Amino acid sequence: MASIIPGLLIDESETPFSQEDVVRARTSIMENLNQLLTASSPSTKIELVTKIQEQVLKWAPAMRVLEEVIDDVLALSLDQNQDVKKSIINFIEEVCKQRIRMLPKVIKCLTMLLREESAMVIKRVMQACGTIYKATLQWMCTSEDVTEEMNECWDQLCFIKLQILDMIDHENDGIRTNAIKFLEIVVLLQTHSDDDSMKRENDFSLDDVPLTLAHIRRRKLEEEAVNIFDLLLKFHGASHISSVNLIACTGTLCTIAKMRPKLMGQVVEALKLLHSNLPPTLTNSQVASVRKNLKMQFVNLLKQPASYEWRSMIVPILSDLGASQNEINRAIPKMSQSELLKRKQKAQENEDIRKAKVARLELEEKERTAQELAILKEMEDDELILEQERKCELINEKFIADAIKSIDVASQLVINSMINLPDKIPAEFIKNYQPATTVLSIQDQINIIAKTFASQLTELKLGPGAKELLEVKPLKSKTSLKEDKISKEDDDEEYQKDETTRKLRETLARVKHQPKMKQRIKTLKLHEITKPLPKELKHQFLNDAVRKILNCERQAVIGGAGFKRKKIITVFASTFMPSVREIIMEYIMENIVKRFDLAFMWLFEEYSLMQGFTRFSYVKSEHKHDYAYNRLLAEFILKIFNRGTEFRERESLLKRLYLEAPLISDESIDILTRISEHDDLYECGLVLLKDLLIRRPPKEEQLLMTLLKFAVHQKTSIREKAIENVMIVYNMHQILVENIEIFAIKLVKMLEKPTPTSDVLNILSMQNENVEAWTEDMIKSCLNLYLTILPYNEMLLPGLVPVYVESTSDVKRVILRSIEVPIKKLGTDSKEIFKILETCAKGTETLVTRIIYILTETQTPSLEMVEKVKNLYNTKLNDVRILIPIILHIPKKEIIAALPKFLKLNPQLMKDVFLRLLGVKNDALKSNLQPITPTELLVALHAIDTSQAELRLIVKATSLCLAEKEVYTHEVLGVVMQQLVEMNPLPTLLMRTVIQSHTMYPRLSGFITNLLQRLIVKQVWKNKLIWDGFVKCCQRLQCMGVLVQLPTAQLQDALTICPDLKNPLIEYAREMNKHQMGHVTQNILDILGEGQSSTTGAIKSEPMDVDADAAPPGI
Amino acid sequence: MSYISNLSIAVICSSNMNRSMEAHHFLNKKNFKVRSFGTGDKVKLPGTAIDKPNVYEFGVPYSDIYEDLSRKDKAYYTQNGLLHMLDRNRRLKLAPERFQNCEEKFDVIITCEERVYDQVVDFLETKGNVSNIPVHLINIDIIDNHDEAVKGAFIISDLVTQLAKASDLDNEIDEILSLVEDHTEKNFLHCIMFY
Repeated sequence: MASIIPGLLIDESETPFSQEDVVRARTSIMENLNQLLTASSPSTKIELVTKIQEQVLKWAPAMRVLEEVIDDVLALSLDQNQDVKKSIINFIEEVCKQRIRMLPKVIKCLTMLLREESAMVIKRVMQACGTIYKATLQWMCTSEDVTEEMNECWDQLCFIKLQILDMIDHENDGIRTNAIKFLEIVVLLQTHSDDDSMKRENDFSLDDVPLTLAHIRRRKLEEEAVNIFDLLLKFHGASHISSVNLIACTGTLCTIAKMRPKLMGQVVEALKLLHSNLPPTLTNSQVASVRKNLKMQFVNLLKQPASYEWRSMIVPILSDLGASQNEINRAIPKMSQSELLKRKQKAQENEDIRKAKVARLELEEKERTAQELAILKEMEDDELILEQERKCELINEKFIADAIKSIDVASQLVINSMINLPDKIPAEFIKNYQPATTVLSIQDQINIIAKTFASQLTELKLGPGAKELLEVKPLKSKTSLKEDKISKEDDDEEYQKDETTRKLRETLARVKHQPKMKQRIKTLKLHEITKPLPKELKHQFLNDAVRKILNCERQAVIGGAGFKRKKIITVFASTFMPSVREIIMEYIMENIVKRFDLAFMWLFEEYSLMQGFTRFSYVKSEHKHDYAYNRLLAEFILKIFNRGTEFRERESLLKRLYLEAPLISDESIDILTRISEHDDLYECGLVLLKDLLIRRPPKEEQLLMTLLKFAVHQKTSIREKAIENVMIVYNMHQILVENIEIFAIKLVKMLEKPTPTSDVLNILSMQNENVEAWTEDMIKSCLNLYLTILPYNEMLLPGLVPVYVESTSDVKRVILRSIEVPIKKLGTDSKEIFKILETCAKGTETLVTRIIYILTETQTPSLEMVEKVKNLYNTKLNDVRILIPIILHIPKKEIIAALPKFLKLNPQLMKDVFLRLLGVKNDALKSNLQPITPTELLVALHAIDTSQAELRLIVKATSLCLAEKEVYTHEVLGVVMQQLVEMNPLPTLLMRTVIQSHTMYPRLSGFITNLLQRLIVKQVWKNKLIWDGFVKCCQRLQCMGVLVQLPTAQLQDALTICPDLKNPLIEYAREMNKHQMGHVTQNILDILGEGQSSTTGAIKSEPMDVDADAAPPGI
Repeated sequence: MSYISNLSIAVICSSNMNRSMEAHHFLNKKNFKVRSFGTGDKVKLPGTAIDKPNVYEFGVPYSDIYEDLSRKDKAYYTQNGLLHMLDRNRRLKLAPERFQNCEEKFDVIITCEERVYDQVVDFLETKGNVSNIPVHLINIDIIDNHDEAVKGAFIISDLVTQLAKASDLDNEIDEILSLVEDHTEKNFLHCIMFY
């Protein structure tokens, strides 16, 4: 605001002002404006507005600044003070006068100000509107290019015009006066002028409206003007008009007559009528003022050449009004002879036209007079009777004249007789009636009245003078004649009615001019003489009326007014007092299913009221503008909601209400929250929440938060349903994806805390419960949403890692248990999972392991995955457990290397590993993946160095293997044993395995014997353990043939170890044949022969070189 | 200087000397926003004989007239009160003003004579309206002498006080006028004109 806009000065060339001038003007105006914005007292404000107005409008360079400041100035139209408002209107008027193109900026302000409560402000607006209306019409008509904006302005101005038109019946006198004046302008602008028109400066008439305008049509304007003119005439002729309005209206009509001579005839007629019938409500001095005004107006009309035609009518009235002949002559304009002639001709023409119009009327009139004359003739004959009558009349007249002087009698008379007035005026009244002129003195008037009444009394032979008529015969023929006449009068009803009112008015006027009536006559104001009904009664009537309308549904539909009836009801409901509202509400709720459309119409009616779509934007005072609508919506919802389960349509109606309502209020969302917690309706509620979320973008965030709250609800059923709906939003519609994710992550993050924080409790709506530690339910609540959306966006996965690290073991356990499904869905190719595997932060080992397990449980891990896991194992997480899932996918060498570690695992895991390796565990995966054969495995087990693993564990492992008989058949075991024997050094468990193999497969004994023999070659005794085993084995197998092949010392030893062997051995030695004996050394025999040499003694041989005699037989 | 009321008033007689100035004086004292005017062609003051009036142009300062008259016949004009009146007038404003030359717009115009009322009506009517702003025209007949002028000024002041009290003048003026009429037993002429 503070700097000059350069463009402002570009087209400044046409003005002689320098740039400094502009800058100075601007600065000064801005200064004033700033003061204005901070000013507090109304008088300062007014002063400043006037100052700015002067500066902006009076000095050309400052005009440029106008656009900048206008909005700020107009803002003051909201000021409390009505004088400030008036000054703003003044500002607007001046701006429009000089810069009508600013109209679009100010018109709204004007419309608003017209709705003010203060009569002062309204009046000022109306005054300004007159000028603005004219200026706008001129603007529209002279602009080369009529823009859409201009048309819009014009429409708004027309709307203002209509409002002012309505104000002609306003209860405020001053507003009416101003309305008249405004309408005068409209009529003048929208009618054609002609040669006789009085000319004024800056005149504008319909002739100046170009025919080419699209938005403004001459014909329409003229039509409107004629209507308004008729309205003014009607207003002018109204009997209740106040003197000020009357004078203003007379002035307006005369101005119109002068400017638009075509309408002069009607105006003169109206003025004439007024002259003869002044409104009865005027006081004496008002009558004087009005008559004076009338005189002045007539004189002015007379001055117009165009009034020539009416001169004969005007002159007598003028003299009646007290104008001297001299005055009249002075007023009549001088005309040349030729002009006079022309005018005469024209007047004649017009007269002819008029005559033709009333031809029919006149014809009837003639007939009537002819008849009357005939009757009168007949009457003249009866001179005698007349004489008597005259006497009688005189007496009566005197009596009445005396009586009528009392005000009471006169007024009673008038009031009482008013009831008896016939609908149609009797013919003789019209005939005899002479309008009372105000020129007459009051005494004269009394006399006239007395005379009239006297003659009537005489006719009926009543009154004090009736005695005089005693001899007179009844006048039957006359009355019958009268009746005939009356029947003929029936045709001209219209005329008679007018006469009725005229008569009434005149009687009243006469009575009021009675001399003794000192009391001032007040203007008739209905509200003063009527007492308002008691409020309760009024309301009861109103309520009953509304009920009636409600109850006539069928009739209305039959009559084709069904829609209108509904419209009426909705308007009642939305604008009337609370009791009506309740009645209608009750009515709708009686049968909500059938009347649901009515409910909706009402809702929409309230909505349009709230939005100000309707012309009468009625403001429900003390509440906010949306109060009524919100309340109604909430009420409908609650009423339907509160119907029990037996109400079948409940769900569908609720759905319609929510989905079709023009606006969803916060309150209704609250109710929806309650619905969603309801046992029966929660599904409906949640679906609605979701639908609204999708369909009402402005509220989507709020709705989402509500829906999300349910996603962590404690009730599993609600929670699941809610998550289901969230997923529809998240996955199908992809609305507010981010918000959902943020919420989910936030929830998960809360698990980091050792105990639930108040935040969590808030979200879980458990703030009232005393929760010390995480419960499984709570943890699950926090996790559920996250885990549900996880498969759709793996990027969320890293979020879980820090939480897992921080959380307590309870939480960890739950997490580990619940991640199964989403991880499985993510699959083995997920990059995020790989990342986690790669980084494997401290504390996440269990998680990582779990993930790997989950992934390999049912699926074959991808190569990449295997690679990652291996890497992980080799670098960070040197835990052999993670290898288990992928064990089938790593090479034999590595398996063998890791074997000692496997053995250290707990027995269950270890078993698992072996079962996997043996391909026993998982049938599905058995396939052909077998990195290591059972043979190799068993051999490898035996090969483990006891320094790496306890022997006990190895023993266990081997037993485990051997237990799988299906895998380890005797052939397999044979190969194993063969290989074991070949090993150097011999594996510790060799003999144990051999013995066990034998136990399992006894038929292997032959094979084993051979093995034993080879062991001898390998000097099996060098290892104590194996040696013991060897001996035991020999014992079990009773293979003496092997034993005897032992060197002596060893045999000795063996016998020491197992003395039981001795006897069988001796037995064996005995049975040996010669050949066999050849193999046995003498020493052995010696040992055997210890104590038995007498019996055998045959076996004697040198111990053989064991090495030389290697291979045992049978191998 | 702030006025007692926003109502702007014009008081008009024919020469802006006696009746209008008396009322002007009164209203001025009560701190109303008031101006006074005459409607005649010239300012006319009675002379030593009925056929020898003193005639001045509008705009000639009161003090000049005062000087002129005291030069002519000081004793006579002192005795008939003219000099006293002029002295009062010159304390109120510079010179008599002619209504027809005034551009200002008033809320209420009070005339002191029917002829003056007619002239004002005629003037406003011929000028034609441009702004649609209404003005109330009220006539109170006051005979042109000192005593009546004082009485008239009372009535005018009474009336203006009532008018100023009204919250919505246009709507209440009818009643106020008839009230004051009853009260003072005078008949007012009243009409509405537009600027």
